[in-house]
Amino acid sequence: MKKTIFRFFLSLFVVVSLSGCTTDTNNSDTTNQEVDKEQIDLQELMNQIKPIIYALPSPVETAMMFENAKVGFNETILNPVSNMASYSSSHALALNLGIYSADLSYISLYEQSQTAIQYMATTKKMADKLGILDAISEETVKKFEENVNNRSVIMNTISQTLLNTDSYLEENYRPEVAALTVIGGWIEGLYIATQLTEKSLDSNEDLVNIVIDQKISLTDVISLMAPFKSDEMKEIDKQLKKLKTIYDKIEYSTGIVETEINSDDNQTTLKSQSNIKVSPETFTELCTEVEQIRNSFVQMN
Amino acid sequence: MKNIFKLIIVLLFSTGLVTESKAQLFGKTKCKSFATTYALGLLDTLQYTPNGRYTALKLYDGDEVRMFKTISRDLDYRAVVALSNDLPEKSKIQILDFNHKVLKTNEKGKRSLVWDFTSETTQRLIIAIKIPAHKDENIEQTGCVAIMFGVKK
Repeated sequence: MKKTIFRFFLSLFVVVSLSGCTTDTNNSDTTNQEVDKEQIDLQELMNQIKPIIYALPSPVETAMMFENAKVGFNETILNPVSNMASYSSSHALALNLGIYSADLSYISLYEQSQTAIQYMATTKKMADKLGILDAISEETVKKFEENVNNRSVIMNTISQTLLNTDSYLEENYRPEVAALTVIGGWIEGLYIATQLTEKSLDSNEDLVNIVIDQKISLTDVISLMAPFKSDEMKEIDKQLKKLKTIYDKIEYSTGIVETEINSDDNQTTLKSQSNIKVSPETFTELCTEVEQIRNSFVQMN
Repeated sequence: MKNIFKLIIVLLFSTGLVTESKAQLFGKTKCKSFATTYALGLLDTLQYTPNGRYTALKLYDGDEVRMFKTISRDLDYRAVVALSNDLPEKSKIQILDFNHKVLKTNEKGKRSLVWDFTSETTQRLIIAIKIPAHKDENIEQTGCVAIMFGVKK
């Protein structure tokens, strides 16, 4: 009881203190209220989008999906590091930070040490330009370079940089940058998958499944855009909704989930079946639309 | 009394009188630290690569939280949901499928759940956490929850 009463008076004290600090002039009072309002709006936005970001597959998961699908490496589909110099607006920087992070995760599956080092350096520069301080430190880059042939260390380092970026953007209330970084990474993963299928439904079945399964995530990606009202964000929202009209042509359902536990390693398998119906034309249309969206992102400045 | 206090704080936030107090920021930092040390330890980074995202929240007794996570087919996942020791022992952690079928629950008296699994289909899971309310409403229990997913190397 004492503790609760103490906290109640403490909160009143905080309010009184804050009020007391802002009584100099009417102008400064208004300005401070505006700043407070803006800060609260950003906090609320961050709280709103954080669970959606969490729900989506990360670039690390996407890379692991590619590994399972046993796909080859194709450098020509990456966003060239030379494009970095053209990004100056925060929208272009945030989207392409996500794109470069996804490229880096993909590269790291293969023995492409020089390319991996270049993309890590580019990702760091993009984070620096966005003012995401210490997300990727000099030590991290050095550790990456020294262990570039050790895949386990490389993947852990990428995971750590994603975690640092996510954490920094949350703590500093930058919801728009956080959302765009995630969308950039998601679309790049999808773009890599669609390019590797060569837009054909007859391609590697696992790759085709990666593309189609993103129907589930697209709903979250669109929800992520919903709270933002700027023209740039509305344009991206429009592109994603157009993509959804194509995904809507795909019939997708999942059956009842049964669990099976392996007594040797205590691992559970969630057994279920998905029922997918998609025409070759729809699949090609989908891949082409993904290509257009992704290219519009990398050409942004 | 406890509920009145919570209500007042919510009202203060909604009227713009208070942004985040130092105490709340401290709570956030504490929960982040709990996630990146304790929960990450349970994930075991030698075996599993963290997916690069985490959730760290400060919870009160009586709170209920639901989070979603899309899991991809054929990946070997480890899910970690950890509650700090200052939350009640009877707190419940459940992982459910999208039809609300319970797939995994924390063991009685354990404040953490570590679950290794793989899925034959890409699907959305629900992570549900329920902190029981204290019998004495004048006593408030708060603590951290951390949620992390890793993929087997």
